[in-house]
Amino acid sequence: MQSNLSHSIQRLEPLGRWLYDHSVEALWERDTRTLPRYLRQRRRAYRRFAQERIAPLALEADRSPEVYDPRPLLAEAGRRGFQSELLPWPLGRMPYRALLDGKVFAVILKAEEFCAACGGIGLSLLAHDLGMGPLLLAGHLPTILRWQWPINRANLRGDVRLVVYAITEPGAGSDMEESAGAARARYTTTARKVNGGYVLNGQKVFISGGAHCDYATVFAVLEREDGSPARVDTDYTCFIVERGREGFRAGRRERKLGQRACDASQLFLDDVFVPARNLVGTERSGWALNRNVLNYSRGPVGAIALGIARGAAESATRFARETRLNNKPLVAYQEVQLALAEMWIDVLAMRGLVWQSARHFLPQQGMAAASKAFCGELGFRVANRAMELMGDHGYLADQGAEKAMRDVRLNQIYEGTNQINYLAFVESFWESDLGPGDPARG
Amino acid sequence: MLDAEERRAVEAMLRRFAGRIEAELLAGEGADGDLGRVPRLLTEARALDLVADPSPQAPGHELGVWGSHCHEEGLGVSLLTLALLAEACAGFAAAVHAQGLACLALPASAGRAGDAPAQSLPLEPGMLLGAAFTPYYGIPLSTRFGQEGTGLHLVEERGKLFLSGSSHFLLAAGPPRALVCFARGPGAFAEDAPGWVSLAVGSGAAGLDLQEVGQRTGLRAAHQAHLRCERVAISGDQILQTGKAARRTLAQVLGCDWLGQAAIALGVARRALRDSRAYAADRYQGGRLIEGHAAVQLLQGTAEYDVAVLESLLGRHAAQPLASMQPRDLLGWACAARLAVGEHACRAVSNCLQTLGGYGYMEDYGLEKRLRDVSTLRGLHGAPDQLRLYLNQLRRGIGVADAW
Ligand SMILES: Cc1cc2nc3c(=O)[nH]c(=O)nc-3n(C[C@H](O)[C@H](O)[C@H](O)COP(=O)(O)OP(=O)(O)OC[C@H]3O[C@@H](n4cnc5c(N)ncnc54)[C@H](O)[C@@H]3O)c2cc1C
Repeated sequence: MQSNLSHSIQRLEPLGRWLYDHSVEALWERDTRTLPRYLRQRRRAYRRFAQERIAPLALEADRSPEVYDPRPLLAEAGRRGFQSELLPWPLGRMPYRALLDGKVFAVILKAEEFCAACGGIGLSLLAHDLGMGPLLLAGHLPTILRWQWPINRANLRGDVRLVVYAITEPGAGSDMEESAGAARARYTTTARKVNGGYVLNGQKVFISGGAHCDYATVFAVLEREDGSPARVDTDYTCFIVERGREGFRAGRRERKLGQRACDASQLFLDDVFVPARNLVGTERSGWALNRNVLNYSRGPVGAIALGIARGAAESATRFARETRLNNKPLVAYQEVQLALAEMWIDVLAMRGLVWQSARHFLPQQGMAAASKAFCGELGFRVANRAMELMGDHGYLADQGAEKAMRDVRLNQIYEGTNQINYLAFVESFWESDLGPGDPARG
Repeated sequence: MLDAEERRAVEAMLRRFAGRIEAELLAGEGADGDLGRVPRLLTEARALDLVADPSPQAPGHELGVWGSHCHEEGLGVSLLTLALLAEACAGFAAAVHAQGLACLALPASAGRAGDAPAQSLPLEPGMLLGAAFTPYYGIPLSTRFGQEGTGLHLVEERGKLFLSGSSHFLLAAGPPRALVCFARGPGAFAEDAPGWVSLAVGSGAAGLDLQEVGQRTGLRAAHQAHLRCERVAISGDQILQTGKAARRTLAQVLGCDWLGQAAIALGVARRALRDSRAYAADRYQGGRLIEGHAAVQLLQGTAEYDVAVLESLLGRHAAQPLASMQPRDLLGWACAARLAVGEHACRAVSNCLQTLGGYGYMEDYGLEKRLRDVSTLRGLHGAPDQLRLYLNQLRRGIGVADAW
């Protein structure tokens, strides 16, 4: 701090001095201090894990995703309890206090820390929470005891059980996430009721973790008994499908721009029989279940963008501190200070919204969509700014910023494109704030 | 300048060749296509006189991108060529661009039989060249980080000349056989400008090291390297230009570099928009073709505006002969155009990618490559804030810019 200012502060009355926060404390610590103790501890544990276990693998996993094996890290994260945080002890490792607070606060802290180290590896760990979402949110105790608890137990032993979430189909992407589209979706994945269970047919695409999954929570349109045409918004039903079930297989793994350490794969269902116990929740409640899973997951997806953006800002800061020009570090030049300030303020704004939306007792559609879309947009801005600040160095892979740009670009697309999230925000606050009627009817 | 009919013919030829680039380079799998085919395509481009050539005997010397025609006829044809090539592959366009810049860096007489540089460095037809004119960070003609410079220095020791130092992010069509380097020279070269000198050197010279830059975001069909020189012996006949003449040529190279980058970005953005329109006219979501959704129309409308901004910026002085353009005007124009890459071309490509949803993020649809390519141009040979400061310096006519 400027020394004249320090002297001046010392001359203030004791109360005035006390009221003046002039401590030298890193941004990360400052924000951590505002959290309750149980979340402070988690945040530190996530950061340690990310720095020690994720960061060293990041560049190579991005460069050669086809040879990156996510299972060792899934096992390690599982042993530390990071893969079973949707239920409290003894069923999982959710902090008890979270029962009274926002349900996904720990998850958003985890998403930021993991993805600050690597968006792709972060996603490969976080996709599991998304896959597990329906098992909890169906609100069906037998489902929790039959599926969620044993999966948590296995992961806590380090015995990996990866669950992925499957709604998207070749002809229905946004339509699986948006009210108006759902009514008219051109779906292909169907379920037919048979003796003792259901037969599933169809195809899913872009499923994060699909190539390595042990289970998938698959959404299918349940055929109607009277033969009339079934629809996503009225007949959607969720099933848990185990790897190894006859007719269930992963297909092509997409080659993508970023978050490359996590595969996005096709899943095929050819006359897959699942017993009735694999039904998640109740028949034809899948549309609400899907929408609520998205309410729980879009906040964490916002936090993924936040983490990646923070990683980019850290890379740019490191570059500006280490590069010396004309006997001065780059960071000593005013234009560089302004650029860094813009980036870090964007990061703070993202964190502000993500934390604020996660503080709501239950994740809510409009708030979750706001987090997801805002952070997707700002995260891309921060990563581009970081690349720009670094000039030619910005497009070199080993500097980190270009990877962040590629990684965070995905956040405007998955969990519903940003446009679909803006529409979800409007839908959510239509009756209360934005207008009368139902926007889905146009 | 081309008349309308000539322009149509050139465009048709370029579009045909762009189709070949796509068929040859990008038909197979892989993020950037089959880069092993770039040399063959460059040979084809050379046969069409698209690639500048150091040898005055080759037609490309005059007609290629940044060839000698620019001095009399303006930059329009080069900008048009780069934009159209970039519609197929920005990296290939960057390779053609880089060869042109290196040829532009050679003074008009270089390579002619009997001229000084030819004695030490025969410039054969088809020879790949590189121009070393960029420092580790910043802009060679800006004084933001001290004096003007590229990081290369020519020093005189006991009557002998040595080139030392480094220049970075040198772009070339392939591993270059010879380099045109811009360096700060010893007192003897400082007679009328602050010590600039340009010189030609073979890339195999003792003490000269070219290191590929390593994995980068895009433009991978072009070659990029860092140059390090440790006491590379230079003879007097390798010196191409000194003082004001060298500095003026450097200004032209720098200006054409930024303009060429903007033209490449324009090509990428135009192509992204075309792909987006085709996709949106075929994809159903929400009960209709997605081109019917306002959300998609807004993305495409913004991209159309972005393309229009780039087009009008690039068209501004495209007809003016390079020889008659003041360095300050050229650099001001080029700076603004290059800044538009980050703001307009990148946004256009990103918006178009967005209209493809998840498919836009995947290699198969080409948009992911276009985003990588155009993002690489964001900071190529100048961080945008440094360009803004330099533009301001030029406009205010202060400091170094004042000398022009
Ligand atoms: C890497 C990756 C990982 C993914 N992981 C998963 C996963 O684990 N599980 C899963 O189920 N899915 C996953 N997805 C799918 C993802 O959620 C979809 O890609 C996304 O919802 C968009 O759908 P789409 O790709 O079909 O695009 P489309 O729906 O075809 O959208 C194309 C364009 O049209 C616009 N649009 C579409 N409908 C409307 C409308 N009604 N109003 C206005 N505009 C509209 C969109 O905004 C977009 O710009 C993943 C996708 C990617 C890319």
